[in-house]
Amino acid sequence: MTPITIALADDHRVVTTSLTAYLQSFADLNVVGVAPSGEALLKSIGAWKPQVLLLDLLMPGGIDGVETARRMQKVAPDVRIIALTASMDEARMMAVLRAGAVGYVRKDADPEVLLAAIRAVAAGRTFIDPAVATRQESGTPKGVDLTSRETDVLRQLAKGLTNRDIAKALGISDETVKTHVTSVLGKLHVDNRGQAIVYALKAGFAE
Amino acid sequence: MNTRFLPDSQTLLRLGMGATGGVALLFLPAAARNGARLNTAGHHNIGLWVSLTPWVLLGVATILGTAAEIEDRVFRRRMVLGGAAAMAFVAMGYTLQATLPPDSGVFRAIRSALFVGAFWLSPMRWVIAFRGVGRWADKPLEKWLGPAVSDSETALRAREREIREAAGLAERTRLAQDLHDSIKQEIFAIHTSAATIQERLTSDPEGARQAIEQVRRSSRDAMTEIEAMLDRLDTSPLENTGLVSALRKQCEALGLRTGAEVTCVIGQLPASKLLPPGTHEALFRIAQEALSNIGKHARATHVRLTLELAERFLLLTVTDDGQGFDKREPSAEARLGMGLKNMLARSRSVGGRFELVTSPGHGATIRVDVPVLQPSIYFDGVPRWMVWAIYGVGGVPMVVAGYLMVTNGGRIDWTAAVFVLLYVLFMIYSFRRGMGDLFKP
Repeated sequence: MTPITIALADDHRVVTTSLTAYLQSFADLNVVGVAPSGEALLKSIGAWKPQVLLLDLLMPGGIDGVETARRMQKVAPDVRIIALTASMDEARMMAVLRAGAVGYVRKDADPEVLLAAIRAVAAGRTFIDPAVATRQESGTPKGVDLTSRETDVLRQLAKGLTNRDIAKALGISDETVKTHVTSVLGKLHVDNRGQAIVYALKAGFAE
Repeated sequence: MNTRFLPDSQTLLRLGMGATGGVALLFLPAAARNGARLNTAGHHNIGLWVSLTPWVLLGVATILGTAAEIEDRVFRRRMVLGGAAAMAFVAMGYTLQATLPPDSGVFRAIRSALFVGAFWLSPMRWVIAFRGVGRWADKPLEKWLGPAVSDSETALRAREREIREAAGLAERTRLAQDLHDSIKQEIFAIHTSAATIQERLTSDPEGARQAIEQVRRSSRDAMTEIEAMLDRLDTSPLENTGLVSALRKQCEALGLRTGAEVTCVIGQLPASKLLPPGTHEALFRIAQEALSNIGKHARATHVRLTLELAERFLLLTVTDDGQGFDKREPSAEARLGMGLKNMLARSRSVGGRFELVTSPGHGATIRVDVPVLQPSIYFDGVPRWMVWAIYGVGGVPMVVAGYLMVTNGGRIDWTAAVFVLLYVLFMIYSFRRGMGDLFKP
């Protein structure tokens, strides 16, 4: 099978160097490009054409990860973005998910978590570092009235599954899942699956 | 944003000295004439006090005019004592003049020496003399005057404390950011490289070996950065050697953090005693703030820090070739405003001047100069005995001129004029030799 192509954007050379060495250890992964800033990344992304982008959120002196993710939607909307960050900042996390990231991994997670995230997003799933839930103690959100079916869907969603996976797991049609997901997103007042997963993690919907 | 708030305190000092000295010089012939008439006529009342006034004014103006601008405790105390001594000297001259018989040759010699010598030994000269023997003078001064804390000094200390506290908070935020920005990244690299080693241990020993190299490199770099951070947390006062090594560590840490090539050039530093108290600490914090800003905003590839003597100043510069910024742009001001204010306040607290030069695309440079308080610096490399010889030689023409003026009944005849001219020429010569400070009125 062809390896998953990956690009890295991080201003810390030590991070990109060690990460490249690590990812290149696996036959199914291939690092195709490394950029030290958001601007440099946007310039080269067309040439690299990666499937997955590992994006640092804080890059000093220019556009940050959130803005980079936003601009990526115009330049290369098909690239699956994983935000990779050393700081746990909920506002930033929500912002980058809103900007279109489908993954979120902290730098203090085990490298295997990152590995899992890359493989998951490449397969079309969404991956949110489970640790973000334990970091937040905001309690059960109020005023959200989900039907039991919608709750089931959210539970599956929280695993990062695609609509097709959810349909298979719950034994319903893709179309029905799609309807439920739309309804869940609407009730949670979020734009996309990533944000819904963060919600599910914090509200205890995920195991 | 105007970052040049403070005029050079040394310039102010010289202006004040020049003005007061000039006024005194205008009064000199009158004083001499009065003195002469006084003695021949036997009157000693109004004329005496009229001629005394400019000298007293000179002393007072010198003290007030300069003490207000010099924020250094030690220097100010010497200044006050120097002025007071000059006034006492003048008063003694008038007392002698009023009491000794006018026709005595000894009297005439003393009188003329006092008249003109008082000018020659005006407060500035005393100040310099006191600065020269500053280390010797400090202890008795402490005994006579106590630790001399004035209101303005209390205010100054309060302001310093305020700055320290605000800076402490800002510093904590920065430390947290830098921890995140440097050490956390190194540890990430160590963690990831360890995982790489595990993966490649058997399948790719060469790759594993490289990953081990990375672990070692990152561990070493993390240690350097931790050292640099510990320096920033350290509150004990820095001396010269401490400052030099702390600055080097900060430079190295910035290089590790950003990958920029950071050069650190530190020249010969003046002895700590010759710098305003707190100079080392202030310079370290300013440099650290500047380097931290470069790390966060500049995207520089080359950074250069220099700390060296430049004439009578200890000069710190930090230059980068990064993206620079527009000082008037509100976002830049918001981002850097607090840091710049800190740097400015710290410079001022040690009597220094702060300057920031930057524009978009042209990098940025900060300069701080702190005055060095010691004639041995003014007389760089000139032996002490020569300094005193210059004093003496410079004084003789004025004393002789004064003697001639006084004995001539107050009229300046051609001999006196020649002597005064000699003195002026000598002053010009001294200025050109860069020793002007000693000979300014």
